[in-house]
Amino acid sequence: MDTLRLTKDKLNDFLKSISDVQLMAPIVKNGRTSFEIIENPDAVELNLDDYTATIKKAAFPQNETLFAYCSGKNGSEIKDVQEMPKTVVFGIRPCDAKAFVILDSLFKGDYEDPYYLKRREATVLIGHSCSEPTNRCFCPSVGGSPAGQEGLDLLFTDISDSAYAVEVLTDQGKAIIDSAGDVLTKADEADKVKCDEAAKAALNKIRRSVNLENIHELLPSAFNSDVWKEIGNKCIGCGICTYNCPTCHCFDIQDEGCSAAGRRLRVWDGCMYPEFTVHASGENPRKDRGDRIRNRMLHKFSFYPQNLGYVACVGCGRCIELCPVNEDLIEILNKVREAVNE
Amino acid sequence: MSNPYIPYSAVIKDLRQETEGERAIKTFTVDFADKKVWNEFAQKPGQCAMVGIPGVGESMISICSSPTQTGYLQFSIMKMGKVTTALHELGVGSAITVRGPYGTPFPVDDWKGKKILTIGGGIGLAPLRPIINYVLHNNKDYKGLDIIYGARSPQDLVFMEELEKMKKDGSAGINLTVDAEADGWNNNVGFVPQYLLDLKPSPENTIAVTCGPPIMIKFVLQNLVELGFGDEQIFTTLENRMKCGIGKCGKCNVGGVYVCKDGPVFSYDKFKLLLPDM
Repeated sequence: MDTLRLTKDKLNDFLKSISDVQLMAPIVKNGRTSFEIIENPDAVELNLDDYTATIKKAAFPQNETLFAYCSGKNGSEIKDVQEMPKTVVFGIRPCDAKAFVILDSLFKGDYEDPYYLKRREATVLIGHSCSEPTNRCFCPSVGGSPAGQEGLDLLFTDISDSAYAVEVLTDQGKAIIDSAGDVLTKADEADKVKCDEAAKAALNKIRRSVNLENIHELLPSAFNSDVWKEIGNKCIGCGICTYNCPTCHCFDIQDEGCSAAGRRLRVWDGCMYPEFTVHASGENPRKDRGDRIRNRMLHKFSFYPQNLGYVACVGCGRCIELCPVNEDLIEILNKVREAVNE
Repeated sequence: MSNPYIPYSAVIKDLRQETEGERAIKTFTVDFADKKVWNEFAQKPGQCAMVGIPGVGESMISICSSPTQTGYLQFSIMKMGKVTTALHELGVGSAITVRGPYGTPFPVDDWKGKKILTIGGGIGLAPLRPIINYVLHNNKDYKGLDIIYGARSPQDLVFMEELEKMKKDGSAGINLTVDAEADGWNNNVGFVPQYLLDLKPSPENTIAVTCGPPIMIKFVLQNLVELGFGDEQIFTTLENRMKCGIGKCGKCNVGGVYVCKDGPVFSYDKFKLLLPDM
């Protein structure tokens, strides 16, 4: 499809042209960048390194009402509440867009999850390719790239201090470009070359990598290794790796209210907590932190690819960046590989 | 797109106290508030359902009635956590919710022409009861039914009336055991896995199905192998913490499967692949 050019001084005009839908974009809130629903495009901060906040909430909110109920004549009368607002997410990183593609496979699955899928259907993703990958990024190792297009409708790339190249990737993306009118101009050959060069330059700045060779078999073969205990000893079980992971999807279901009226909610949960798997009897199949890290690695690099066809990691490195005790996913996988090869 | 998270309204039609005490067990007989639900709710032996009370929550419970028992569902529920305790406080006529049926069933139709052996411990008899009732109802299709069942004490045995009736009319071989000697107990004393070895059932043309506490399942499986049962002749059914029931929430994930949708029924060859995480 087409490539267009947008001068940076017209970014506000472009964002203002996105009307009748809610716009989610990165803003600075409490000193950190986070994606929020914005009214005023002036608040958008696109060129920030701090992208620790995940955007998975656009389709999978941290708290979500599944339905409201009230007691009626024939037991509980249940009110389905699922109006999903049309949303444009602006400024999403390519790794986060790919995460949605990975999550789609789970939420489709054997049973379709209407909450996630309706939100996804109503969401357009406008990406911003990474010109300065962080020192924790390793997206190429898991099949991504700083200018990856998977899952995106439009992709913005910085081609100079004053302009973006805008690649149109889907019909939904094209519709947004069309409604923006002459805010954008057609990119010339020089712009396209700069766009390709920017992507290559960014790729060359990636410093970390992970060896995934045969990982889906390697991890199960290390199931009984002592290495998990060593890895688990460091973990404090805070769960920040799961909450900020763009592909972690585990959740809890909780009721709020009383028998007469209330609502059932879905809330994010994390496999790093012992309560996550504990039975009502007190029996816990994953008692130790090492057991839980092992399951998380197996889930992402063995079960998920085998069941759904994707490695459930996009190489964003947030789990590495945010871990308070410096657990490092790459080091964990390397240690396991060493343990198996010993 | 239908919404799998929205449960059906249901009503408790009957309650039977199976065992007393802090962890009492009651059997709930339940019908849907809207009879039309039966057109789409067709459970098979071994499947489960999410039983809930709005405002409290839901628990995954195995359906302990057989599809041959029509017009109602039965659940034998131990008073254990938040939801099951709240269920125990309800009376006949109370409204609850049900969604499902979930999971893989026991392949009872593939077992036609064979002898069926169930080995249960405590509340673990509940998921086996649909097999028992199904086989009894279709007894011409099967070569017989033997039941090995044990609990901590005589007071902890469930479905005793039914088991005694089967013993009396000879419709099934009934072998009961309790963990320790008790007043008035004339049956076997000892743990279920050992009792199984003592009884030495022949593996010939037999399917063995077991459910009970994890530690009991582990040793029963070992002992069945010792008795000469092949992996394809052995089945079990598992239970894990569950929330969604449809393979999304991640809680019941074990060894590459979700127990809610890929289980709860596993043949021994599949079960063996999961074993380390149990």
